[in-house]
Amino acid sequence: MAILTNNRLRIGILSYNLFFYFLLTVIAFVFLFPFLWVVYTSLQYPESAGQVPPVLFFSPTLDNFRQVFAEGEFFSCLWNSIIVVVLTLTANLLVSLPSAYVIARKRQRWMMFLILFLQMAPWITLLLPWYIIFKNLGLYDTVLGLVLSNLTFMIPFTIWLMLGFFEDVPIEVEEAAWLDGCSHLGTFARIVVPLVRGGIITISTLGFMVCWNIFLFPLVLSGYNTKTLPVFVFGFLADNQLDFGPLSAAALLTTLPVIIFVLVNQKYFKAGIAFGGGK
Amino acid sequence: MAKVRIENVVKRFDRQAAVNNFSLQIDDGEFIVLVGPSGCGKTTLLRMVAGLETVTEGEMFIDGVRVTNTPPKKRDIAMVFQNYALYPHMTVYNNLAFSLKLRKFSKEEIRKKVTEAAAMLGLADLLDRHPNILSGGQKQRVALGRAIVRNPRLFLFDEPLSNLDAKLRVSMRAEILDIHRRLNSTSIYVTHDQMEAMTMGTRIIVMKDGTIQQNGTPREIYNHPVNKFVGGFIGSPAMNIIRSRVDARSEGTWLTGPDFQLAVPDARAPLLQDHLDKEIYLGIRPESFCHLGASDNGQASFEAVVTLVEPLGSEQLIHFTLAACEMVAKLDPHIPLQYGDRVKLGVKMSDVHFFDLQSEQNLQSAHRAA
Repeated sequence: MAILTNNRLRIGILSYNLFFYFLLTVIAFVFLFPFLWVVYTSLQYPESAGQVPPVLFFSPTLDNFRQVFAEGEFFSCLWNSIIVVVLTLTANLLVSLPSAYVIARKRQRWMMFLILFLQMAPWITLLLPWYIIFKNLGLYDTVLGLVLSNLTFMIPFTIWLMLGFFEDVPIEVEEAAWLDGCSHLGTFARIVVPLVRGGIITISTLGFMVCWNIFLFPLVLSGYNTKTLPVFVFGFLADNQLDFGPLSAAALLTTLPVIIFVLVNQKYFKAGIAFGGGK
Repeated sequence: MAKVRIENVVKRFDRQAAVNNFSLQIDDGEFIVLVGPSGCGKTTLLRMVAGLETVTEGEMFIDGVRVTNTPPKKRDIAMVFQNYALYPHMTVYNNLAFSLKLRKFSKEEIRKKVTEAAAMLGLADLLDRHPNILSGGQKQRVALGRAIVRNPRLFLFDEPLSNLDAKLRVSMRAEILDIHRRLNSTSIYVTHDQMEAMTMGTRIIVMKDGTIQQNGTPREIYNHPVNKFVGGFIGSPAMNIIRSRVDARSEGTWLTGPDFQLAVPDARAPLLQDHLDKEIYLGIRPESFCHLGASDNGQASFEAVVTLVEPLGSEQLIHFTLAACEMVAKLDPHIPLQYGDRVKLGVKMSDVHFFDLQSEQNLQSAHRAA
């Protein structure tokens, strides 16, 4: 009787696991399908790219990638994207970390609600005013302009995420540092910041993803000198003919740095989202 | 070593005084213990000495120099926190070395001082480890090491042993005292554990509601508590305190209650002269009871029913009820007693304490002052 019950239990657990993994596979496929389609299309010849139904077995080609590189703008747009993202992330941390620290230590959470409240306006409503302001201030088609536009959403989000991390640093650790002879700034830099590095990596990873892929602001606020990769990719849609192959290749090349960055930092990213997001 | 002078210090949080007109002088090399119940202001006072809390009113001096508004890093004070407050991202070595690095000591000097402190505290094998894999006792030793490595003029301890188990607490107490003796340092130690206070301090400051109740040596505090609070707080088990009436009879002065009558020795009767026919608080320490046989008829004795027996090996604690109060007597462990037994107990009236009903002051202290 006991053996029979055990077998039934094993079958039950196996069935549950099979169903669970089947469901996970379906969900993963739904999310991965667009990316897989892009990879698939980027390796297709022009005559078969975008074909429905898709051909499962085919000879891949790198012609689309050669065409993307041949455009000439790819590397300058790549460089622009790198510069804008690096400067955005750096400026973001320099402004947001001390702000979140002060809000956490002074227990002024109401400030956080105020900061977030100001973010409730749809981003698109900011475009026209920004365009006018940036044009008048000479910030149109500049790296500084793009960085500033990114910071308007990065800073509140970073402060919100980092608040929980700073609140979890015991104040006694800082007090011990003060008594050891450390200044307040030194304590912040040498004691507090290392303790919240998980959050810093998380926000940097998220920020990299968002700033790298952002399209609307650079589309309006950048010009020839500061075109970023997403705007470059958009260029493949602007012509009369839709070049799925090069478009997919450009999209894939644009996505790769984000994928690599997230994969390298995923340990901290997962911990940070679970931790900071709960606060 | 340092002399500390605290003059009329007040600390208010939202108009509520956590420390109220506190004054204290601490000499070189003293080990002062601040003891009191939770919320009495002892930690707040310690933090004001450290510079971690601002002073609302009053002044503080270390070695004659006013430090009331001096930032913590300039006071040359080391503090051992209740929850250790180690730097989690640094190894034990770097935890100990951090303050020396800030003071721009050379690498060789840092290594020498850290090695010496580690050897003193048995941390030599732990220098490469991070705090998260250390035990509670090891973490507390690292916290101690961090304090002693830079040889400050004043040590502050904020309930450093309260997170440790009982056995570890006893051994760490001895270590702290050993370090104090070796370094001949001035130390202020905060605890809510009156046993820690009694065993460690050269002087004990008993606090309540932000004020000093009594300032004295452990023996003075224990044998001559100035008021009911100190009497009841210091001592384990706590002093038994019951209300009793002072009766003047032809044969002498008696203390009476609903179920007891205790004759006051002639030598102590003058203390109660101003309280005849009035009620007072009678304080009897558990060790002031003695077990009487059935035939013993002491004038200071009574009968009671045992409600609980706690055998502790070297002694036993007998719980009983007297005058509707739960009381505890400390008796010889070989007396066979159990729950429900009727027991005759005598009281060593030379050792009891009398407290005024209104002011709760010890009548003996008041008599001496007069």
